[in-house]
Amino acid sequence: MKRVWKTILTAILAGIMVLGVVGCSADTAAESAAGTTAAEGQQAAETQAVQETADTGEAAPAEAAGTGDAVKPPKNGDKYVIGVSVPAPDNQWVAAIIDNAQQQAKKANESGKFEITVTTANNPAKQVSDVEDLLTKEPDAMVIFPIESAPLTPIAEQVKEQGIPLMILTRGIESTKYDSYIRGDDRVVGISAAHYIGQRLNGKGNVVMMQAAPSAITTERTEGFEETLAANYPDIKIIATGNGNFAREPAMKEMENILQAQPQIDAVYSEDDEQALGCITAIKNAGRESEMFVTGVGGNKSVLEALMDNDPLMAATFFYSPLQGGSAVELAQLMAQDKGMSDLWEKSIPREIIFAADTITSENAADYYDENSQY
Amino acid sequence: MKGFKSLWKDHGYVFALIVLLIFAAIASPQFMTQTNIFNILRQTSIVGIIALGMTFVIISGGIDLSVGSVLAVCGVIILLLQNEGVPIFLSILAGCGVGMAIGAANGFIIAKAKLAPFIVTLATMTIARSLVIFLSDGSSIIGDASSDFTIIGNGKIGPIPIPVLIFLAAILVCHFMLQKTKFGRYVFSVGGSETTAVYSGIKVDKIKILTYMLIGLTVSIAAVIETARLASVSSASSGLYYEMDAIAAVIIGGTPLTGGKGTIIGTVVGIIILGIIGNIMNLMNISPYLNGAVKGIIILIAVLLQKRGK
Repeated sequence: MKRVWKTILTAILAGIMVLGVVGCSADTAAESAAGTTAAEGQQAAETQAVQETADTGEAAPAEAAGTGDAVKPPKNGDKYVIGVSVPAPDNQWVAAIIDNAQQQAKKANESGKFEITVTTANNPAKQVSDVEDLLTKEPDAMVIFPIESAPLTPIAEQVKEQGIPLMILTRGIESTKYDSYIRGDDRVVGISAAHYIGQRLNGKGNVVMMQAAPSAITTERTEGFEETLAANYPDIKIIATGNGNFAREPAMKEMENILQAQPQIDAVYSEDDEQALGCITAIKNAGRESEMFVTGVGGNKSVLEALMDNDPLMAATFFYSPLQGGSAVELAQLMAQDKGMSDLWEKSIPREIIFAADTITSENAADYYDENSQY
Repeated sequence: MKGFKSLWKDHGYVFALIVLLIFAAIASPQFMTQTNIFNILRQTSIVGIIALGMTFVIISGGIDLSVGSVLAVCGVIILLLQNEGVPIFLSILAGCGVGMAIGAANGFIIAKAKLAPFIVTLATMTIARSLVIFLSDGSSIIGDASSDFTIIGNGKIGPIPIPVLIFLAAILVCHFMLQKTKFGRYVFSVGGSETTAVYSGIKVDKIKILTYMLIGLTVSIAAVIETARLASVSSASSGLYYEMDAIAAVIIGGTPLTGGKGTIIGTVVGIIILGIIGNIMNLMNISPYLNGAVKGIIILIAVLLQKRGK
């Protein structure tokens, strides 16, 4: 390479470093004030009209009117900036969470009062980078759905150190430094499934456990199930386990192999609805539908439809809804404005929001079914 | 202008970088800030160090798909040792040892059994990832977040993050090795034409094994930085897809997959370009799903330019 061009290239790269050191614009990220600018907030004389009927379900307006009174103004400009960092959609459930979050974000952005950015990452280091990028925008609130709990904890604590309200979604962090944590109940999913299967089999039988992809969520669902079985139904044996990877195809393949190997199966505990559907296809192909029944986790439309149709093979599922994606964003909007949830007297968001892992069978499936749901 | 033409042919990535920088600065006011630039540099330093090693491997005519999985393995070893009370320095040495050992194994099988590097490292990638998930039961290994070890990943000297300094040092060392040492010349030789290299008396097998050990070393250094930054390592997702980014950086930087040519500086520009793309898409709130599409298009353009240049 000609010397001249080499020098120019070196100069450009050096220039990037120098720019970094000197800084083209003020480095305000480190100076972001603590979130409680209540004094400035009170001067916003136009109080939001108290809308008693506003609820925080999907039908709620984009502004999510809270308990009225003084509203904290945005840090910069006239829009509230909110960062939402989630994993890449490598399975349907996560894809549904992202979709719900993005829909809520779109509604909020269209109202003109918010600027919500959603990022996705397929490994922890990238997700930490995403959060760092979002922090440079000086957000008024952050939502994080950690790919894994431990690697995302340091950056989450940093978010709190900068005084930014933090909402943790679905998977937790290894720290108490957050403002709110919204999720389903993985352990209870496992416990409820164990009781359902145990009681239906009268305490004795062979169970196949179709686990989900390795993760903390899966570990909880497995442990809840195994421990409950061991304590209450010792004559129920887990004769085989497979990894369904939260999806239909892999679960179907694993189930086909297990069906070959096991002559007598009484029930299948699938840690995810899509997996359950895959298992069912495999079982039907093998002609062994009358031998066993299957349970899932989630509450997706196909499974609910099977339950409402009284499909004997699809016996039950346990509620674990991706709606929490949309709720998390909406609650973050409230946190950015320093508002509480409407219909609650408190002026702040509850710290722990856990959606019960209801047992859904053909009897109550219709209550959970939503035609317009994308999950 | 002869000089310009040859620059465009061999080093088109320079122009890509300039165009990208101008675009990014206009598109987002937060781009040209000290924090953001250093974020990009620090974020790309981990895969960047791996890409440096990948440059040697690709120039020599090989390829290494196992880097992501090996990063997870090294990370797990480092943290497990530290959790057992092993001093930080020794745990780092052990991690590097493991990285180089796996690299040596890759290189040995490729050279002696004369198997395609793609296949061998594909196998290593799958085996390593599977073993590490099995050993950690699918979850993360958690280290001590308050340990001094984390300074490597999160500390700064002045305004410059330590990972960036490590990256810089690695760039200088690798550039020197590639351009100024016998080893570097042999690597180009082996990649250019293996038969010619053999007839010139170059120990081709040894060179190949050394390149894989070198990338193994860079992977373990990257593992040290990432593990220090996150104070933990995820068996299932740490390092996932790093091989794609490392290879893409090398290709964008002007090194053809067939080997025989290439520069360290090209790889560095390649990795910075990839980092800027990811960063600007976050800052501009473009759908993150499109990140892959943009990267893929840039890789295609880079390869097309290489072809036209021949």
